[in-house]
Amino acid sequence: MKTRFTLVLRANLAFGLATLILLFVGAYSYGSLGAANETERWVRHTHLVLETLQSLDRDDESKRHSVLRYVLSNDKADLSAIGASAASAERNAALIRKLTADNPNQQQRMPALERLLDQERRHIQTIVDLRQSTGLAAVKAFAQPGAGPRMNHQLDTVVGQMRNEELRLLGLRNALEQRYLAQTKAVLVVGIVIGLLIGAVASWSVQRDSARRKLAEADLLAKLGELSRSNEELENFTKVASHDLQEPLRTVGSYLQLLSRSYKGRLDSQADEFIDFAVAGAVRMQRVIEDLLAYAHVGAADRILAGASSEEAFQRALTNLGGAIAESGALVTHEPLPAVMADEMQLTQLFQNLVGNAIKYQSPGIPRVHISAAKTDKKEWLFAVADNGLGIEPEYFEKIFGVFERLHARDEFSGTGIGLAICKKIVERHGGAISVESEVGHGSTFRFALAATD
Amino acid sequence: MPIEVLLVEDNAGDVRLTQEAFRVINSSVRIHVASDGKAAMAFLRREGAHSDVPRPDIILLDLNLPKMDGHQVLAHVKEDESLKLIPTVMLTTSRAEADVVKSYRLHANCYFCKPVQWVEFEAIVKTINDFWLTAVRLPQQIPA
Repeated sequence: MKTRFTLVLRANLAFGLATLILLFVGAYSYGSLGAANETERWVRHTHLVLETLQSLDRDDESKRHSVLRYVLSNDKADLSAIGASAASAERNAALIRKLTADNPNQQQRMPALERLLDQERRHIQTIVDLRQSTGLAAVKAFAQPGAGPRMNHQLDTVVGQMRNEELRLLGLRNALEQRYLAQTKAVLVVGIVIGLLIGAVASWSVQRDSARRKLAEADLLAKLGELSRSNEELENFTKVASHDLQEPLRTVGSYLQLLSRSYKGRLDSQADEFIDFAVAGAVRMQRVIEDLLAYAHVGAADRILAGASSEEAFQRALTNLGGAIAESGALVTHEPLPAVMADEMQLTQLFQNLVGNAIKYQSPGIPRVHISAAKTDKKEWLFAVADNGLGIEPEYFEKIFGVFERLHARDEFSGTGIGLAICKKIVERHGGAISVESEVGHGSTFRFALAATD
Repeated sequence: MPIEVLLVEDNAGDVRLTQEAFRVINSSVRIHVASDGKAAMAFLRREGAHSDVPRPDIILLDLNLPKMDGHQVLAHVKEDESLKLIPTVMLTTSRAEADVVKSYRLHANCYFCKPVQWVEFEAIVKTINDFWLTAVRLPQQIPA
């Protein structure tokens, strides 16, 4: 029983632990993959910012080229190309401001970028106006050497700073994503390994336990075999006792009597007395053998307990005791007796022994025996067999239920001392207990409990 | 006309007791003894040395016998169309309920337990004599 309990406990523990690990691995992977996904989104975002910065750079470049071309050609197409590049540059700048809203570093740089773009726009406008109103020479006079490239350089610097910032972020975010993925991988691997280990340990433990149980089962089977062998031996012993032991005894007894009958008067009175003693011995020994057989028989066969009428069993016992009751003039009374879970044959024997004793161990006067039954709260019937006989001293209350225990000399009361031992064995085989209450000179009451049928 | 009794008994002491009891009770009884089951069947079937033996009027059968036990003898007797007519009285030491039930199941005509006391034994033999050999009417013309 103990190994079974711990097996179940261990299996539950392993299952619980495996479930916990599985839950942890699942939750962690889910969270970690979500974070990696988020980081991946930010990486794409950064790429977008970088691309936009590059577009801005290109717009600026093509705008400057268009200005140069326009100044030389005064072509309307070049003028509209300037406008397109400028508009695209401003759109890209606006997009960058929006995209980098999360990044204070970039936001700090945005005013510089916008100011530079604005400066450039105004500078180009002046050049365009001069070219339109005055001509190429005026533009040449206005354009101080180095002013355009200086502005250009400042813009490149800001865009470069912003690109570097985004590249830095890209590096960080890439690294973070890699870390998330690596952690997830590690947790998954470790979780699976631990889960497999728990599974292996649990399965090994179950196998070891089942091997142990198989051993225990084999052991149990061997013991059952032994028990059945010992039961067979007991049965054989019963046969030997009932025949091989009684037969020679009968021969001795019978021939002694035959001898006494055939030679009566030809032997002296002392010889007759000796023969009487020898015959009495043989008769007594046979009774002992019979009672021992009855005692062994109570435990030998597997009794099936079924609903039995204790009233019928009691009546049968009274019939069997007919001679003794008539001889003693005993008054045997009883209350209605219930149905109980019992072997009816053994129940009859129980009543017969108890009532028989009540009649046998009597003081002078009319023996009275009363049998009653009362239901207890434990779904049992408590039977009582009360008599007005000799009574028993308290120190013998336990002892009288032992095999061969007698309280009286043989010439006072006959008996082998097995009757109450049989009663005790019968009641115990039925799952109950038997006890006695008695007062010397006033009588005894034997009580025993049997299971009710409902 | 003598009454023929087949006593199937392996205990010489019991054989002698039975003979002694019948000698006192009914002197016209002739007791034939078979000391084991096989010998009993040989006697009943008049085999070998038993070719001239009479057909018994009654069989007194012990249970505990060498070679073939009392229940087996009983089964053979009650399976035989002719032999089954012979009253078969169990006379044995065994008081085991199983032995009693098995005997009646095999159609024993009655079952006696051998008592310890000589007086009681004598009473049983007298009962057998008064009932089976005196009071009851048995078939007179036995089919072969």
